[in-house]
Amino acid sequence: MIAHDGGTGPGTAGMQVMLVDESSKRAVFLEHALLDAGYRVVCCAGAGGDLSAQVREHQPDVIIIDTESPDRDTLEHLCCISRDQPRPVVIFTHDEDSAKIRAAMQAGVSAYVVRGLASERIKPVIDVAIARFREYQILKRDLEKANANLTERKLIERAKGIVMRQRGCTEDEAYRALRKLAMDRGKRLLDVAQVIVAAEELLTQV
Amino acid sequence: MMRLRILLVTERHERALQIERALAAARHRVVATIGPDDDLLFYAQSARPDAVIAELAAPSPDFLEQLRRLDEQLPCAVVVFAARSDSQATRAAIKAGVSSYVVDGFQAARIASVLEAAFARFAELQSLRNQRDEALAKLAERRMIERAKGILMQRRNLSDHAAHAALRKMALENGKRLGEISHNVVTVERLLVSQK
Repeated sequence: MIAHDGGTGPGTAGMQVMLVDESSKRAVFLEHALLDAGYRVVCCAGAGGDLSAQVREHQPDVIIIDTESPDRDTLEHLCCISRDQPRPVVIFTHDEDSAKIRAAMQAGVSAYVVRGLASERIKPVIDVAIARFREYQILKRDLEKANANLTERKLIERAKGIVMRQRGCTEDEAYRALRKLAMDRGKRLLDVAQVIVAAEELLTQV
Repeated sequence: MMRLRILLVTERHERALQIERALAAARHRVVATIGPDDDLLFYAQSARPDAVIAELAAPSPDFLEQLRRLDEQLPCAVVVFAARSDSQATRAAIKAGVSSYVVDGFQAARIASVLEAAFARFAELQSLRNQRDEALAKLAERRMIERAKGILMQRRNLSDHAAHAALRKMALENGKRLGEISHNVVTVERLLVSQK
């Protein structure tokens, strides 16, 4: 382990934080604590704004929400953010209702901290949120990749079947014909398969 | 929230009692208490907990390795309270499948809500993992079917369609899935080819 690591993870310095707080008094406290811990606060928003738009505008590395209880609007915004522009999200709150906690997890919240806001603990909480966010993104990407592979394979199989039927050729020949077409056109096999399947659909519909 | 069975990991007797009381107040039950050097997986296998709660000074590499093995073989929600931790240990703990990692924030009163968040996050993560594993299994099955078809086409000089039909028929007759039958075909082919 590197000796100078000392709790300050790589990239913490100058990491950009978007702060959302319904109380301006607490916002001031949090902003100071964040600055002391070496973060940069790029946006300090009140409650009820358009979170998605604010994230798009300020492009923060982390989003921190301090609220008595995260409302439906906030969770909906977080769902959209998690889908379209995912970021680590930390919620400091007083609401320990099970349904609320589950909803927050489903909305992609990386850390949900009930009554645990103390300035010296902010950095460890953000560290955990970022680490978890990364793991989650890796898993999500793996899933997307597997699904895309599956779709791709199905599509190529269908295109192959169409070529075999139309030309009365073997599977191998059909596959080679597809590959050649892709190569000649400078396209991916998948794109060629897509066109063939689409063309077949169009023609058989008539 | 449902009542959970908890496996507790701590070195300190008085802490164990404190945690146990706080959990009992939230109607959860500690089914076993062990130390950080004990064989976590072994005790988890016999106690079958819904969640593991560990309260430590700092998680050692050995303990993180134990958590990783637990996550691999008997995944469940894991809460770690560490008196101290650096970013590196934090990342390692999250990688090892820890659902809630609380640094320097142990308070008996907060334990139930931390556990709740851990449990919800674990469920979320597990569902994503299941989806991924399902997609990967389907993909592997498709590849296997393709390979088996290729073998039949070559050996019996069948068309793609006929090879597929032959596999399906065999699967149906043997009450097996297409993927299983394909796997058998590929295995037998490997056996025959390697014996030549």
